Amino acid sequence: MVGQRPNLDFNLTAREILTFHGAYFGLPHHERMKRAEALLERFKLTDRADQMVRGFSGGMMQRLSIARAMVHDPQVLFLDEPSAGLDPQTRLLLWEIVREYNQTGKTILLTTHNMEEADTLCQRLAIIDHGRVIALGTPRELKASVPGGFLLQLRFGLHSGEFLERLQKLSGVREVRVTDGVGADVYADRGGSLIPEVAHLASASGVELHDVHISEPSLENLFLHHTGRSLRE
Amino acid sequence: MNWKTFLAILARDAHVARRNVVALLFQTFLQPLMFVFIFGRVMVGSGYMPPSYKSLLLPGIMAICMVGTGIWAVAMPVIAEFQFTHEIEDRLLAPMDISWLAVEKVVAGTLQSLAAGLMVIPAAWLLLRPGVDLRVPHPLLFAAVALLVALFSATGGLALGCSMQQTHIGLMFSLIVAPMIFFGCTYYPWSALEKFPIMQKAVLVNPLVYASEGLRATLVPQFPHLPLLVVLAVLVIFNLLLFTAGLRWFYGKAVS
Repeated sequence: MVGQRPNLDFNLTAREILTFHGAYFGLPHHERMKRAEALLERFKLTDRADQMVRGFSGGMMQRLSIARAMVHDPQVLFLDEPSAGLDPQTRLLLWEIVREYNQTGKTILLTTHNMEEADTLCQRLAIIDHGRVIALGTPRELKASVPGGFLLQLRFGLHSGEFLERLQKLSGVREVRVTDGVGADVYADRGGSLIPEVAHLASASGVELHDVHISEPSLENLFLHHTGRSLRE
Repeated sequence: MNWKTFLAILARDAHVARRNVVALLFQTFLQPLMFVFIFGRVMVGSGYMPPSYKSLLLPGIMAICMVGTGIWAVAMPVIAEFQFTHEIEDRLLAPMDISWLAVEKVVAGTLQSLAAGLMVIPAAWLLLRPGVDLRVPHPLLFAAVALLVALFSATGGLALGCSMQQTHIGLMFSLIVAPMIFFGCTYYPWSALEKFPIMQKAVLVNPLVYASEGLRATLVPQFPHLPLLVVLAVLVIFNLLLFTAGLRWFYGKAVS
């Protein structure tokens, strides 16, 4: 189990944290020394192995927390936002290690707000909003489930009901949602090829387009589609 | 119950205590031994105190060292580990019931308190000799009192540690530990309070009174002291109360 914030034993060195944790789970002395050495090597902590963890950076502590969770080789590993606040290099290293661990036949239950992380690492994905599972499936299935898949975010000067109605009727457009008085999210089956038609429609309806942003099918879009845009506490 | 885990966590505490041994020694012994030196050696040597004060003082100093060590050894880590670093989770992840982690802390604190008690006797004896008259007529009774005092210090440490915030550590020592020592019959026997009848009755709520009087009764029984049976009974009651409260509070903090 790896919590969101590091909860390491500050009175021990990195190596001792791993060996004592092995001891808590009943590993014999030789075995826990061997595993600690291997994990320190894998998590690139060997050169700091015998230093107290008090002076470690956030990324190092997070790496050590995950190494600690792996010492006793659990069948299921719980990771709560493992890469939150980490630099890109550390994040890539963690992803690589998580994938490796999964390939040895172990289950990993990971919670994250990082859609890229969920997309890259997970084989089965649940979107939870206000404590309820609102979507469940493989990342591919889920992405395919968003109406259209492509998301066009439009910003315009003046709100026009007629414009929005005609947008809805364009070929390939699956859903139009008004985001505020001066914008709309358009879910569609195509992206770039829709732009000239949207622009044409806008000028025909007397609406001035300020900004158009296209996103390809992604979990981010899926998440926003399901949960809306209001802030989550 | 998972004894392998329990012993491994105990080994972890021993490892950390060994690493901090020099600081621990200074913290435990420096102040009481300075007191022994000034009151037992300088004051007695210069004639302000009677020579018998040396023997009277030693059990009280032993009680201070034991209680101070046990409280410090349990309360401080508990307070620190439950703070924002959530270090306690490192041990809570171990495959063992939460309450057993509290029991482990009490065992570790008891062992440290016993070690401090056993070390302070020869140290104080060396500082005070000649003229220290330790009799110890019943070593087993002495061992029983020492064990109860050590347990009291550790269970007290657990209860205090679970009910204090980090910002209140200074207050804990000046409002609880210091009055406990001064009104704990450590530097004087309980019978010396005869001329202060209200105070003599009031100090009976202080568990340290029974610790000092119990050690006095078993180390230097030639001095007046509370009946040993009363001492043993009250220490057992205090231990049970503090242990029960400490366990409950520890559990409450751990699962919150």
